[in-house]
Amino acid sequence: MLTFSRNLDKILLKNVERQLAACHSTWAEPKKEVKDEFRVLNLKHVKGQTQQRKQPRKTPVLPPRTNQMPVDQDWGSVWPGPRSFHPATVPLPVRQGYVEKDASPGKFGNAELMKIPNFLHLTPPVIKRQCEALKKFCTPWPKALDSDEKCEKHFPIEVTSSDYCHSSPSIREPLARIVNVQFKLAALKLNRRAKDKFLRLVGERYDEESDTVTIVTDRCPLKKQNYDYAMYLVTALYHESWNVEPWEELKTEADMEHYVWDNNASKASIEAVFAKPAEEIPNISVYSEAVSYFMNEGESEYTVSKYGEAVRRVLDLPLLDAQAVSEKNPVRSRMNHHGHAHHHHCEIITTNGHYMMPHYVLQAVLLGAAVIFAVLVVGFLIILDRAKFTNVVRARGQAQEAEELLVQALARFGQLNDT
Amino acid sequence: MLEKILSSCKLSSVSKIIEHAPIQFNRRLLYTTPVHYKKQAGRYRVTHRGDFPLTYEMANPPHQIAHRKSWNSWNTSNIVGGVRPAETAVEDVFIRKFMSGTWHNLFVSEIIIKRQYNIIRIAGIIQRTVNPRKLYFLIGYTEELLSFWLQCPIKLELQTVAERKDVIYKYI
Repeated sequence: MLTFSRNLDKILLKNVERQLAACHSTWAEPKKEVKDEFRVLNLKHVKGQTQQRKQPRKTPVLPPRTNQMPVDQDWGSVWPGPRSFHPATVPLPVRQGYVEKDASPGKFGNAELMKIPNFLHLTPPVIKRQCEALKKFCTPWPKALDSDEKCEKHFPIEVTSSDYCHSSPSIREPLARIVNVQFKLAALKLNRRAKDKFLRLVGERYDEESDTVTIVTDRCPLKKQNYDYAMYLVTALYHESWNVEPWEELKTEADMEHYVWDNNASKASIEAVFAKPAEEIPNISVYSEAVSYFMNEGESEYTVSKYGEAVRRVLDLPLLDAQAVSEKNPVRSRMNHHGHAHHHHCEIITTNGHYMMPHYVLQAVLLGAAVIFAVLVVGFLIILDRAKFTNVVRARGQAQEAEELLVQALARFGQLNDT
Repeated sequence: MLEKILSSCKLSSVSKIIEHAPIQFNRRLLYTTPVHYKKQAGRYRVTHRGDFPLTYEMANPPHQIAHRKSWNSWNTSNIVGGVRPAETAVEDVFIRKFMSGTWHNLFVSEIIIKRQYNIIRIAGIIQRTVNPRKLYFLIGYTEELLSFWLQCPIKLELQTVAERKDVIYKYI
């Protein structure tokens, strides 16, 4: 029978506690060997009855598997799936941890190695094997679709949605419901009016730079529903943009958003000037572009000079030096102008009027204004001068008057003295 | 309350002023006492004899996480956009309590809980003080009960060491 001695000695008690904390207690399974009938309570710590500690049971432990592993073993069968690191199974002398002035802790009894995720189940041969196994479920890529352009042409709609993989017992993720549908506007068969209406309907979902319409649907709880809704939206948008309402026919030239040269008085007047249809006039495309550009972009140095150049071309007049230069390197002149829109002079070229004021008339008006301004300035200066002059004269007159008064006063004083 | 304190301090004149002023609880005060950075969590006191055993986990204080040691719980709940962080934390506490109670005095390392998809993998180092037959029973028992409670597959991935000394990193 196991005898327990109870030590009242403080230090010894502390020791026991510490050992308990440090080592595993084996008291849970007392040995069944019988020495004495009763346990002896050892109040005073007598030396003869020392505490008998049970030696931990020695269980026969096999050496690690790694010692018996052949070099050419199939690692994929040893480590088939994701698993925490086990030192007896991995035949690598890995170490992990930080020790000051010593080597890192080895792989046995190393909890750090068990914490970090490992990819021992995804070695290159295993991945290759898995790909081979998956191959029979795949179909070859269509040979006709050998370029991105062809893919875009035959499959214009691009649908994007996300799947989420969390470490949680639930596979539901609310963000997975969002569906993003993208397509090029050019892929839809729309005329100018329908395209205009389509753009008004989609609003900011259209990106002008890439010519892409993006529709994001997230109002339904499921991905399938959102996809169906997005497809419905695309269909509805297309057919709605082809619809023509009766009130749309009432749109007049004043309601137009852009200046279209073909519909405007400018075309009629130039046809009247040349007395032939606009298509037959040489350089008419330059002129119509310049007028449209001027009307749409607003008045600026660049638009005005471009308009002047176009007028000279249409009327077959010699170009100015500056215009000839700008013709040589148009990019630079384009950079000089930065689209200052001055709308207050736009009515010089009337959209619905019967006359047009060419460029040189504008210059004459400016010249006249400058002359008037110069005259005004000179007149003002003269008046200012005159005003100064009269002041001097007035001052001189006053001084003379004062002098005369003094002379009179002195004469008077003399007379008084005489009397 | 404020009035009581002030009257006890015999600052009746001040209290009268404050009486009419609205008490603002959200005001910011200046704290001039020097800060005493007395961090104690996860740190162990050095003993006189220098014989207190520390594992690698214990020897590195919490600020060494992600530098010298890594986390004991691995999941995606606490990353941005992660789902059910609170439930995960409570489940982890429950698993730790269950493991330390069921495997009483056997674990010589922290209990590592790794979650992947809906699988929970519980790893750790135990000492070989019990019969292997008991170990097999405990593994099955733990996996069965925990998967019943948490409603997901549980895997126990244990490593054994001969005794606790094998995982001691240093003595202080």
